[in-house]
Amino acid sequence: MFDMTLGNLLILFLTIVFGFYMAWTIGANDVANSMGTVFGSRTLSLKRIIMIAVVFEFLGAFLVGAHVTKTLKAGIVDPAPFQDPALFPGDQGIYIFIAGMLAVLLAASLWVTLATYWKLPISTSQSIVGAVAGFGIISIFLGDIPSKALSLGTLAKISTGWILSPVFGGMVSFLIFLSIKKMVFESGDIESRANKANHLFVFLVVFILLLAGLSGGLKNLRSVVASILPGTLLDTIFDHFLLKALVILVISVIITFIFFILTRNKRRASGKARSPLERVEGMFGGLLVLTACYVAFAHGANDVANAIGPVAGIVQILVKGEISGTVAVPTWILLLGGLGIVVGVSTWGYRVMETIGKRITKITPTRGFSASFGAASSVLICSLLGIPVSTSQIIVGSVIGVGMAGGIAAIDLRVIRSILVSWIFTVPVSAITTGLIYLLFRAITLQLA
Amino acid sequence: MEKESIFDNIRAPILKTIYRNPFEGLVLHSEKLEECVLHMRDCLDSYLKGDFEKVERLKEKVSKAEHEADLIKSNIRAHIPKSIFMPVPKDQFHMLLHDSDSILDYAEDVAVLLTMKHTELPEEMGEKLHELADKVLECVGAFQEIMTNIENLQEASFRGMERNKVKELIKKVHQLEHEADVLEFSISRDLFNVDNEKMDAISAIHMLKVIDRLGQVADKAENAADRIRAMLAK
Repeated sequence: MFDMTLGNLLILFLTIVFGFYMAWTIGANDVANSMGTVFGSRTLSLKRIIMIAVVFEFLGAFLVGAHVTKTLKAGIVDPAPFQDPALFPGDQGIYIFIAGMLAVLLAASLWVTLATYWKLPISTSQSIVGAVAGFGIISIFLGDIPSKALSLGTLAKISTGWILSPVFGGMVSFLIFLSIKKMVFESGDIESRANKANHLFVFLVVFILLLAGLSGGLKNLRSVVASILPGTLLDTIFDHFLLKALVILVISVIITFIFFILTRNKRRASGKARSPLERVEGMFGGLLVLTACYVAFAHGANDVANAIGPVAGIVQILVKGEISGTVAVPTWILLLGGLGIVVGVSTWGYRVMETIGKRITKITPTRGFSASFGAASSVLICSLLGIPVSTSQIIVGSVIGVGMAGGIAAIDLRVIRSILVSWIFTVPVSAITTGLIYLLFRAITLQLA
Repeated sequence: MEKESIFDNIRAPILKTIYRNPFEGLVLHSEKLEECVLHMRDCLDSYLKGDFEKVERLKEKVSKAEHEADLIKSNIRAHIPKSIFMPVPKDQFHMLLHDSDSILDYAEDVAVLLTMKHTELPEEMGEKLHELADKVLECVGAFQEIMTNIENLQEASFRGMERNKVKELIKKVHQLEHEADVLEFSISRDLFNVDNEKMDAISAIHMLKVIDRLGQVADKAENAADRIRAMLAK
């Protein structure tokens, strides 16, 4: 184990500060995208949207977040050569690796901040991936590590995810809106059909959410629950897929039932709305709120890794004194990431939403629900697969999907171009920035070590 | 202009994706349409009463409404760039706007024609003219009702009840246009065969022009309604 020397404490301090800053940026910037559809439907007040975002972003980050962390930290660049005694004498390699991780965090944060200043719609995930790749490339260039340590396969998988995730989100949203159109709008009695569709969709949202949570993440939750419930019963449930699915199914039905009892009064009140069409949209309001929770949850799960990946990497080295391929992220680091996002959402995120509110064109709850549902599904699947994706880009894909199904009066396809530009620029820019910062850090580290 | 804050520097591509709703513009445009045709009818009423000073004043009001509608039209068109995707073909939307706008053009023509010459009409002809004006207004009114609720139609995805409601209104527009046509022909016949003692040829020509334009107002409403029918096609 490493000694808590002044130098190590300084490293730890910087790591936590940069990591928290990154998480804060994610919360501040992305809440506008993930909650934009809800806000655009005017179903909830801004305060409530922020409350939902805070709670579910945190839960998502804390309960499902750990998955993506591994890929980012160890997937793109293999850290093993850094502790190869043949390449580096003593602890040198390990300190150089720490310098690299710090450079990654700092460069990505800087680029995100600059992009915000220049109004560029870039993605934090891409920024981090570019930074890690930049670190790998410059290490190869300096002869620190062999070229095979940079996994092009992982980079290719991640890039494919960037292209496929908005398309997938778009397709899901397209299908959801199309089915609302067929099930509800085309029928003679739109109100009773809307009520039926509502039950179906609430069940679907709850079921998917629970399934995603229980099959992937929730390891943190499991350890908490295990201390209360007898271990064997819990293990049986967690380890048998069919049993798990059955339990989730039952829970989903119960939650759906509770949801409808809780919202019954609200739906009665919406009976005062002027036209059947308005009443139908009112009915979808509750569903939209539920989906908003889903979006926040998925966003937290996916994006927390951007901030805590490098933090977990450095902390593990400091604690164990060695670099290993995969690592269980300590709870306190997940907590740090979750808190960072939450603080970002409730400070700048809040103000950003206020600003957006004046400009966003109204979309109705049925559209908002279709878009959010597709987006959240896509983000959650990518999280479970360990692919860091951009929530903003996925939500754009989903809104376009609803538009293609004839749901939105006008969508501007120019936004696709700005996303393409962001794909092309973000990775090289943050890679180069990381390279430069790393050269500086490396020089300092070598002096000290 | 609102002062820009740091919070405007947000990376929210979703804002750019959901573009401003062009159907909202159509509703604004149809409000001007209503204003314009109502003034036109008042203008005709005053003319038949012989209050030519009021005719002048009302003609100004008609022209003003027509001009304001033109501005709304240009504004809608300016805000539908090529990159916009809409639930209906864009050319159908543009043609609806065009046809809807030409209703105002013809209404303005009627008012302008009325200021050009003071023609005294035989009494029974005046009554028929009133009747024609009522029919035309009713026809435009039915079209206008579709336009006022066009956002609902879009929200219902051009399907179901809203669609049926609009289809009924389009039928009503057709029926009223036909009735206006019949009246127009009847007055035309009277004018072509008018006794020279009662009305000179120039006056008859003037009146023929007026009722021709009045008939066109209903015609254009029918054309515009047909554009909406095209949007409903599955």
